[in-house]
Amino acid sequence: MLSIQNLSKMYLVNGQRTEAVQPFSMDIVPGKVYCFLGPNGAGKTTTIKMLCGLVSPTTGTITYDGKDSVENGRFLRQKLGAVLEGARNIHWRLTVRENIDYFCRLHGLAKYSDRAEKYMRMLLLEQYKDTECRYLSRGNQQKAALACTLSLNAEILLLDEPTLGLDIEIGRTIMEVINHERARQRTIIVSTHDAEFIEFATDEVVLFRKGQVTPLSSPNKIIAKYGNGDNRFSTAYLQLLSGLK
Amino acid sequence: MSILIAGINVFKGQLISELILMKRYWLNLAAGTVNMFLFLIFIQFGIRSFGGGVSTEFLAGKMGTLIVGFFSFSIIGVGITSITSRISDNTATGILEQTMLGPLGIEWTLFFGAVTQFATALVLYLLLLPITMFLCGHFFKLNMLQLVLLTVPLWLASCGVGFVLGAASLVYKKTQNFSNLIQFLILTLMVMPSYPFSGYSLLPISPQAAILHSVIVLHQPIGWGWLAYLFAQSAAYLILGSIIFKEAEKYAKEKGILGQY
Repeated sequence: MLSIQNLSKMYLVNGQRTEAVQPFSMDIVPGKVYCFLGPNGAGKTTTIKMLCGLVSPTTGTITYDGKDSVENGRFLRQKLGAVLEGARNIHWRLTVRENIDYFCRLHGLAKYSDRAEKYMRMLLLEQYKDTECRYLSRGNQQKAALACTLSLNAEILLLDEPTLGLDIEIGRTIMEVINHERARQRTIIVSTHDAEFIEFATDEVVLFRKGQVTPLSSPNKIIAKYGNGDNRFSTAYLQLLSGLK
Repeated sequence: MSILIAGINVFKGQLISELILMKRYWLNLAAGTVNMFLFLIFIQFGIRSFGGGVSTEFLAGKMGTLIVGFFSFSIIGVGITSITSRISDNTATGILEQTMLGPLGIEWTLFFGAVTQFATALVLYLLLLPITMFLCGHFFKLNMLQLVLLTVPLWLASCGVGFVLGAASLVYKKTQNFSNLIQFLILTLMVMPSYPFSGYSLLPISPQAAILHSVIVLHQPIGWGWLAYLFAQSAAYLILGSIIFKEAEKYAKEKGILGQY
């Protein structure tokens, strides 16, 4: 289990203290999909990067199966795979297949080709597998990044805005793949604003607002509580936010 | 998964991707090879043209110095830029953070990438040196085995400097001009009187370049003690460079600027 205790991040910007993430604690239960939800600049990406070890927390600890992430960085990195925000996850001059080879080997893996083929098939990338990523559309680049990360077979997946700026069809494909991983009891933390994605592919919602982190509950419970009869998650979310103002 | 197997796989990944990119961007490789070829040719033709009536024996000594000097400078350049350019390329294309997520950490990935670039450069030089000497009709005795053996510590020490420059680019981001300045530092280090032993022998790159010149051009023998010192000193600078890089990485993580370009 991934356990977060009193985690926070404070930056000094022009001499001013800015709390990007205020102290919070929570346990990430294995096999569940957690959604980090909140406005831009609320601290979602910073938290995901802290969980990856790419940003050092100001306070707090992250432990995985009782092991501290700072003291056991190599152990934790073996357990997780991440698709970070934007088109910043793949080598543009390598093909999709070469990218998967490159990143799997970077993670010290030797046997991954069956998994790679499976994920390329699921993400409808087969026809592009020998295409250099710089020639791919934004959506296919994102799918390639996801194929690389999934091929690592990591226990925890961290996905920062995986469907941002993608068309409905590609967004739906990604959602189906996440649901497939969810059925395989993979632990997934995803930051997204995609209401459909949250409703159909996540188990728990964690609200980020001005650096405050509040674990809520399942999307269905949020809809039931805040939806005012409307069964759309977006309506419930806006209602929830207006109640907080 | 053992660290050794993971290390082998990381190295394989770097090597294979490097070979793929060389093949895919063959024009760039070809231009680099022609550039190296022409430089070696011009060194040799140039010194003959300017030499005028000077004796062939005299020119032979100077030519050896120039060729080995150019070779040393290039290997130092390969050692440094294979680390720094990989960091700046990975930052520009955005995969620096992904590279850092590898279980072995980025230092090993950078080092293995540097090994593949060093091996490529060395093979090219060892092919081009005899060809250009043959074309120019001028030979000096070149012990290839000694050349390779003495090039390794020179390259290792250069990688250490590369890690320090890489550390600077992680923290300060735009450091191209700083890297240009380093060229002059390298030239200075190369001409320091660090062989036989003096205080200058403690500097990075300096004794490695001096001994390479002494053994390859002047055909002076080198003792095992010196050879051991060269490797130990180079390894020490490589480790020191990677420690400085690790500290810079820590600082960048605290500031949240790791992946910024």
